[in-house]
Amino acid sequence: MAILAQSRVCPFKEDKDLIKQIDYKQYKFLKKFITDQGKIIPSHVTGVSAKYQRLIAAEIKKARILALLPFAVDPRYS
Amino acid sequence: MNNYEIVYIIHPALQEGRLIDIKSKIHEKITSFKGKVLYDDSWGKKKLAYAIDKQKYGTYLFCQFLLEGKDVQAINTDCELNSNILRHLITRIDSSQILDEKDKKEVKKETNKKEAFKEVVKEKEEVSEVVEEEKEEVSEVVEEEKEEVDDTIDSENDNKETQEENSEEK
Repeated sequence: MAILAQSRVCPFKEDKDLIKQIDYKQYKFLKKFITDQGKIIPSHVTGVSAKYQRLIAAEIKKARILALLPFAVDPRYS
Repeated sequence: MNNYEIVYIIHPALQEGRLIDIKSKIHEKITSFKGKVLYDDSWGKKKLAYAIDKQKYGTYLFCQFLLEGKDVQAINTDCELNSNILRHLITRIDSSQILDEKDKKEVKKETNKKEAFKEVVKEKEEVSEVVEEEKEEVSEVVEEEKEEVDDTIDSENDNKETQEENSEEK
């Protein structure tokens, strides 16, 4: 599920087309930046630069309001 | 005048007719404030990530519009007071983010592409199966050859053993 930092290079600086996908409507793409529990993965794990981490966090929070992404998932019941 | 977009979730029990009523009410409200509806779409019935008002499903509707900033609050309160709208979100957007009717078609095309991709994958799988079969055949042949070689080696060994035995006997 999660993108783990193997190279520690920001994926948005490598591929500029991905920046357009940071949008709460494209919640399936944002799923890559949350854990199975629904937490936002810190940028030092994914390697995303601070600029795009701010955008991602804001869009994930919008998607959570609309129940597109979960606030929290209890692993015992999922 | 600014560009805004609204996403609202409607109660899953409502039928198509009442759904259109709610939609047209919001559109009328926008036009009554001298606004303009730019884009309108339905995302269909979706499963919610968590239950809202004990409902696990909801119908998502999406709309982009042009409106004066001070009138947005009226639409916001309208949505809040409507008990059939489970949740709504109004966000201000850039003019470059406004979608066209073409985007709807693109979505349909994408689904077609997905189907085509699946077909391609299936074909690939078939091809790979054929290749695997060929490989199996080849490997069988190789095994047979190996067995033959093994037989010859065994026979040689046997010969050696027999010779050794013979020598021992001698």
